[in-house]
Amino acid sequence: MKSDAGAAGASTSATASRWLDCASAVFTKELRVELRTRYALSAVALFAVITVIMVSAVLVGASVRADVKAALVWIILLFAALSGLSRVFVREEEAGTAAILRLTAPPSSVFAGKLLFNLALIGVVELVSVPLFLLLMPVEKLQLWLLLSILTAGGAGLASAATFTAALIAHAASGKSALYPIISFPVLMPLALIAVQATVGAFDAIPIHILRAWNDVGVLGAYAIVMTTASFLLFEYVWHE
Amino acid sequence: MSRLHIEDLSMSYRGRTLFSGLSLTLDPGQRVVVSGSNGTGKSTFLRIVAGLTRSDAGKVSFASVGAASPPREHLGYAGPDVNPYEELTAVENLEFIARLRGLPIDADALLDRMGLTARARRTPVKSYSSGMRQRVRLASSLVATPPLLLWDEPTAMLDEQGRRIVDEILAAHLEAGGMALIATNDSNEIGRWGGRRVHFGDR
Repeated sequence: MKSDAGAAGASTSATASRWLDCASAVFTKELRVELRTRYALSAVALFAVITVIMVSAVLVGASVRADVKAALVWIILLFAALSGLSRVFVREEEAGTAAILRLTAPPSSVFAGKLLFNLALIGVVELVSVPLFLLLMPVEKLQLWLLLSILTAGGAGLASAATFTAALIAHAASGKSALYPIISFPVLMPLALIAVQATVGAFDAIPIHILRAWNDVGVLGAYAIVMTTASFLLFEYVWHE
Repeated sequence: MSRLHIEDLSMSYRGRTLFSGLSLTLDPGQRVVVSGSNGTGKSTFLRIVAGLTRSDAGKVSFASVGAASPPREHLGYAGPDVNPYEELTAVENLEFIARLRGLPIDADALLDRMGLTARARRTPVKSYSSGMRQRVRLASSLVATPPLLLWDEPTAMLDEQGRRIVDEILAAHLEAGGMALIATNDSNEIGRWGGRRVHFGDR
């Protein structure tokens, strides 16, 4: 009995180790391909940087309220994400390489590898575009830790939702670029509204807004957890033809 | 080694029956050539056996495994619908597949066997000719030496040397107790492969 339990434990451990290795292999492959082509990074980072510069140039000298600045930050991040995060699955289908993954890897490990890559990508975009935004459109009483928490939780939810919707549209025979924002819109809308509301607190530093913003960080974190869990549960049905 | 069972497989596409009630058993060391003209369902049949496409009805299983469909590690698939990663080298492509399968690999030795030069093996696949890509596809199907090979038009785009290599690899695979399902629409190739034949006709 004891040896049966030991064998079952060893088998579970081997399965978990294999799953992690598959997810890591998919992530490493994405990173390697991206470093050689810079498709997604060019699309996402350039969109974010150019939009930040254009917005700040248009509003130069104007007194911009904290809520408008918060909305601008998240509009830029959302559209930057929509312009590039779908590539992880769309490129596999268009290049005819998705079958390699279907034939060799557990579906959930494929999703995990792709999600990790999109998390890294959105992290880079936030690292580049948000400091640039704050440089060009300064915020006097910035709540730095609050903003970092919002960007972390919001970025995780954004990457998770964008990765799953990318998997949903990747099978479509045509019109993927139109389908992606249409399907993403209702999924990302609640995240955007909460993230903007929270960011207002980080920008205007009004105590009641700060308090509400910390609560919103919790909601953003919950959104990311629910979205990631649901994506893992549903991905296998989406992944197989 | 397992035996492949295909029972009462049926498939239709856009109201047209591609095949119905198709049953087949493949023992270790055997090959079956699937022939027929374009659009008769040969590739779909191979994709169903590979688990890439769902059939309307029927079952594909390995006798010793008893699974509803062949487990991934039991088959190696090469077809025109599965491409290597263009941005990676041939070696990186095979190493990636081996890592996903959780098995070690000597990618250089495998690609050498497929007739790819050392220099080519270290160059991204996007610079390859169609024949070289086909060699990488075939090499990918051989990673981890799966007992069942599913080859869709394996000699397409290959030169005479490439065709000879494919013959040698297939012979060695069958000699070692492996099985193969090979789809082709080339009448010259049908004779070349020998073995049993399943013909997909126009309906």
